[in-house]
Amino acid sequence: MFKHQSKEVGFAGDNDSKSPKLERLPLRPKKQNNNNRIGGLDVVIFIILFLFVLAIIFPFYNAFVISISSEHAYFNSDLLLWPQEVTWEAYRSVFTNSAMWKGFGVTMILLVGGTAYQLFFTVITGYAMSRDKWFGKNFVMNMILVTMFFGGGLVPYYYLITSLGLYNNILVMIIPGAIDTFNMLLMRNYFASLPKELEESARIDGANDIQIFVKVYLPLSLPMLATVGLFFAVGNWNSWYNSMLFITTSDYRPLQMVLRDMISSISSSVESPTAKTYSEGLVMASIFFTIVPMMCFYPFLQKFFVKGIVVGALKG
Amino acid sequence: MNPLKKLLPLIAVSIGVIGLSSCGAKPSSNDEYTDDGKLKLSLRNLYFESWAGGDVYTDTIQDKFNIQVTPSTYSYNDWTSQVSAAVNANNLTDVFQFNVTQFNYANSYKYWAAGDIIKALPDDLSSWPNLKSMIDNLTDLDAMKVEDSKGVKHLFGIPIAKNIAKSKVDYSPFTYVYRRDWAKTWGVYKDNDVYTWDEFQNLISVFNTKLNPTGNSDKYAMADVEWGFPSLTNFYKQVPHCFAFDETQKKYVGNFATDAYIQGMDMAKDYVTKKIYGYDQYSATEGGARKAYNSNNCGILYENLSLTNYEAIRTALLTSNSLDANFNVDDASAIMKVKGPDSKYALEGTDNWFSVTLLNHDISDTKMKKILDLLDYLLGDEGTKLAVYGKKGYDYTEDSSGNITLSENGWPMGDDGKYVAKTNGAKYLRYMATLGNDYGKIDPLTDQSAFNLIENWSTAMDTANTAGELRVIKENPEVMWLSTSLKDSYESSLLKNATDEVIRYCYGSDDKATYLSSVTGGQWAPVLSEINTKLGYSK
Amino acid sequence: MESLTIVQRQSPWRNIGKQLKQSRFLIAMIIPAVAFYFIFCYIPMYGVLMAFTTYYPKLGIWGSLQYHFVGFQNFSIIFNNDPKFLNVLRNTVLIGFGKIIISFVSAIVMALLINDLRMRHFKKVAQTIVTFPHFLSWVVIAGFINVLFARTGIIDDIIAYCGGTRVDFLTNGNFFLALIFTSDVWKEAGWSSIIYLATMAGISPELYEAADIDGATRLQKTWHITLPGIKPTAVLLLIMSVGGLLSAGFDQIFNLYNPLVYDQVDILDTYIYRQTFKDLVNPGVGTAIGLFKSVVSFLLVVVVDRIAKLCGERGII
Repeated sequence: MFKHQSKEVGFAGDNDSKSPKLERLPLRPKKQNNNNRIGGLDVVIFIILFLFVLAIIFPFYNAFVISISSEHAYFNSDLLLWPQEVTWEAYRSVFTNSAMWKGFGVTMILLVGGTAYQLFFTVITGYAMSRDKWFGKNFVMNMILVTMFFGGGLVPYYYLITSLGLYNNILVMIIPGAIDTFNMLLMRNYFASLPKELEESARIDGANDIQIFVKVYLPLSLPMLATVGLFFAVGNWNSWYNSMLFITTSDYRPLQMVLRDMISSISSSVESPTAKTYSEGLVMASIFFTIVPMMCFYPFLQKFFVKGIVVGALKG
Repeated sequence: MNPLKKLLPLIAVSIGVIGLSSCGAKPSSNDEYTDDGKLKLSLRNLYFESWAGGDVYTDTIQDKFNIQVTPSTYSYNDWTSQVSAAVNANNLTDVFQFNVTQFNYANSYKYWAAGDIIKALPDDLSSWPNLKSMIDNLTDLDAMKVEDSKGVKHLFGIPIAKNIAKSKVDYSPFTYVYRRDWAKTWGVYKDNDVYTWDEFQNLISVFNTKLNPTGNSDKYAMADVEWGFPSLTNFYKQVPHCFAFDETQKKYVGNFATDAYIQGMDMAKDYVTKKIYGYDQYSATEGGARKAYNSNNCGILYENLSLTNYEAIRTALLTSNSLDANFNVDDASAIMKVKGPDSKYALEGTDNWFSVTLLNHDISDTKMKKILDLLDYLLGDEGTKLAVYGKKGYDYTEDSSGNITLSENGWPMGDDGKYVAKTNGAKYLRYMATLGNDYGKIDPLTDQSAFNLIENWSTAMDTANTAGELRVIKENPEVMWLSTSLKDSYESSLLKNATDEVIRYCYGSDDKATYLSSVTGGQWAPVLSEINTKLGYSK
Repeated sequence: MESLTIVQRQSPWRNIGKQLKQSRFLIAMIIPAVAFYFIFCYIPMYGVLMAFTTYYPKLGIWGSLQYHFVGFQNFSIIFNNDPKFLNVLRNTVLIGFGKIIISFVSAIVMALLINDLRMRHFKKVAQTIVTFPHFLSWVVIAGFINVLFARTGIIDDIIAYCGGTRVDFLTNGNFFLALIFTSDVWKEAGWSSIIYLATMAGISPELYEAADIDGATRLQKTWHITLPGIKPTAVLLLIMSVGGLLSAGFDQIFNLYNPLVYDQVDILDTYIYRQTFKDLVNPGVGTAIGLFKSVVSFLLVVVVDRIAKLCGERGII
């Protein structure tokens, strides 16, 4: 195994380590820290975090209370701190709403397929950009940087999508997202921070670039992969812009579009033969329908990704 | 400079790219037919919702006209984005819909007509009698005839009629719903819901005292669903939107700066200060005012009383008061008739159509004829019955004198005592020509009590109109659809900014001087002077 | 005698064949990226030219340029005689700048807090919960906010219950501004802290142990080890976020604002949206605004990058 020497996380080529290299001393009794007891500072940190956590939970709690209280209770109650007149009617109509389930299916496809697709391309690009001195590297880097600021606008993008045959095609929500520049730079940064010696010793062993990447760097970058993978997953779950413009069939509408229609219904000052009004409880229930799956998966992904951070930090 | 040097190769690449790209009008495709010879139609309409074909009524229509329809809908919030993206990228469906009114996208409509984006209807519509009679009855139709790319005027779309059974609708049903039960309890009820201006003020102040005695309650007396407090200003102002004719000066002036308007607006401001209007009715939630009324938190609601909206209010009220044994929904959703300071009722005039069905310029004449045939059929007697009742013999039977009986199979009764609604493609297709207010009375799905109440109010207003007791606030036709370059460019933003400014003034964010300068300054002066010059009023 | 060694400047094109062969795997890895950026970013870039024309869909961009070139006229809407425009610009800079600073600081503070927390179980739970709001779109969060902070909402209900007067959070400009910043922190602080946490995990524990030996307090350890450890990442993220200054969060403000709070929160994008969205005739105006913002953002990033380099960090350009 390779020694992960102490080094600041820095950029490619940043070889001047500002911290001293320490040698591993053989087993010696650990000096008893006086930090084992819970001190005053710990309590303060705990309280601050606890309050923040409460502030995060409260809106969800409020929305949940509304979703299971009856319409009547919601309107007439002075202080709706806990559910009153519990009814599951809102959830019942959400779960029997076929549009929601169709949207859920579509979003699932985007989530799994789209995330894998985006992760693959972004990571290999990030790795390649993190290596020193290869032919064309500067050119590509400049090319990418310019796109971060300048774009052509909607009209030519629309033409491009239609001429690629992506109009009304479920792939329109996946393919144009292949590489996200921001995440690519994060991966580049991370790969560059891993010591050069890894690459050198692998090259001495006779490996080519791809083998170095797969066998050496990839296993070490799991925490970053998990982070970036999560970024993509979130983006795919919330995506609605491409479908708003390019998807007209209801078969391919993602969940967020269905939700969007539900939360903001047709204004009452507009003549409409089909205007529907949704009760507050129904809106909240629909929101929960779109949030709960993520709420379930997220802690498991978190475990994996926390482990990854720990692994990355261990030596030897 | 280093960054610039790095930009150079990229600029070179981009220029190369520019050479590569080619875009322009898509070549007109020939009509597409399915394998069994049916003509394909792509239709897009806001009211289609999630209908995607596949029901037996759509099949009936498709078989009859030998077509295959592909419907899609708009997301209301994204309607503008979706239409504009499709227009600019030459990717419109065969038929689409857009909300064209004189202050809303009128400029776009003219632009599309002149730019070969939408197709003109045939000048002679006599082959489609139902359609022709509907169109002939629409108000302000001359203004809808605009120039095409060669400078000849045609009608470029089918305005969607609100009610083909009524030949003229003079006013839009924006009026007051109020809690008659509370009025009775608190002793301010007047017979037949008719109130003079003073009685109305009295009712408001009593409601205010009872609902919000401390000023700190979340209940309030009155709410308005429209911006700019039309609930009060309608009784003072001369025209609904931007341009009023000043008799003394003999020219057009900005409506928001007239004394009449300001009088009404000051009254609204007074009410806001007294907390008669709810404070957050103008925050972001759409429908906040109506929700307050439905939840017993508001005594008077100024609302667009279409049948759909009125039914929704009544249903919501019933839900909120389901535990109250003495609750009477008629008393809770009574329609108020208020006479203004001039002892007349006041209602906003409107056109008897809303939004327009537009045809893509690139479709063939065959296709256009097919579409017109379809709409003509749906507007006729047979088509209407298909849309409202369903299939003859299966869903309903008709006897010799024309009485309709609904069958058990076709119209099962639901648990709540109402008929179960089912997807009827013909009904959706009919929305491309009319909103369907004509069959409100005969539709099994209509709440008859709601319908009758609105009918009564409507008749009362008609009577008042004939007797000269109704003041209809309408823009002068000559200025309404007038097209001048500045007016076209700025009218809609002038209107939006002015209504925003009214809200800010009434809630105390701006003082009178700021208000006046913003509704007379900016683009108001140039636009008005252009209008007056064009109409011949400037000296 | 001294011999002079003349060093020849190596041309980058020397031995191109050899270089290609050497880097062939990396080049293979980068080809998808090049294709992607070319297709989806560079090909549409000619659309920027739409800013200089009145666009006619049937003529396309080239046709419109040929027949209806208008130069910089589309940009004039930004600078039309509206006195409110300066206010809008001021708001944009203020809110954008404020958001950058606040989110930057809150992310780092959150990371430090979680990192230093001793209670293991609560740490995991806190991290999971705190990062969650990032998943939500602004439409959903606006839904939450409207329900919470309406005059009839739960917060005002609690205030009224305790005897105070109901506060108008959504219609009072100053409260609304605070709401904008707070909701931004609520949504993003936890998520942004992940990057810093991952970086902090990469700082060698031996440094901490050495500091322990020297008898450093926790605060000192944070100041001298942790913060310098995340400095490069922080600088990178800061530079990149400066590019978004002019956007200042259109999504968030658009979903929540109303005319009563224009003074404080009307930003460039919402202002332009109101001025142009009713007129579909000339999308060139929207493109012009976008171009204007792109150029300014680019210049901003260059400037900040320069500053970063002067301070010894490595920039991104």
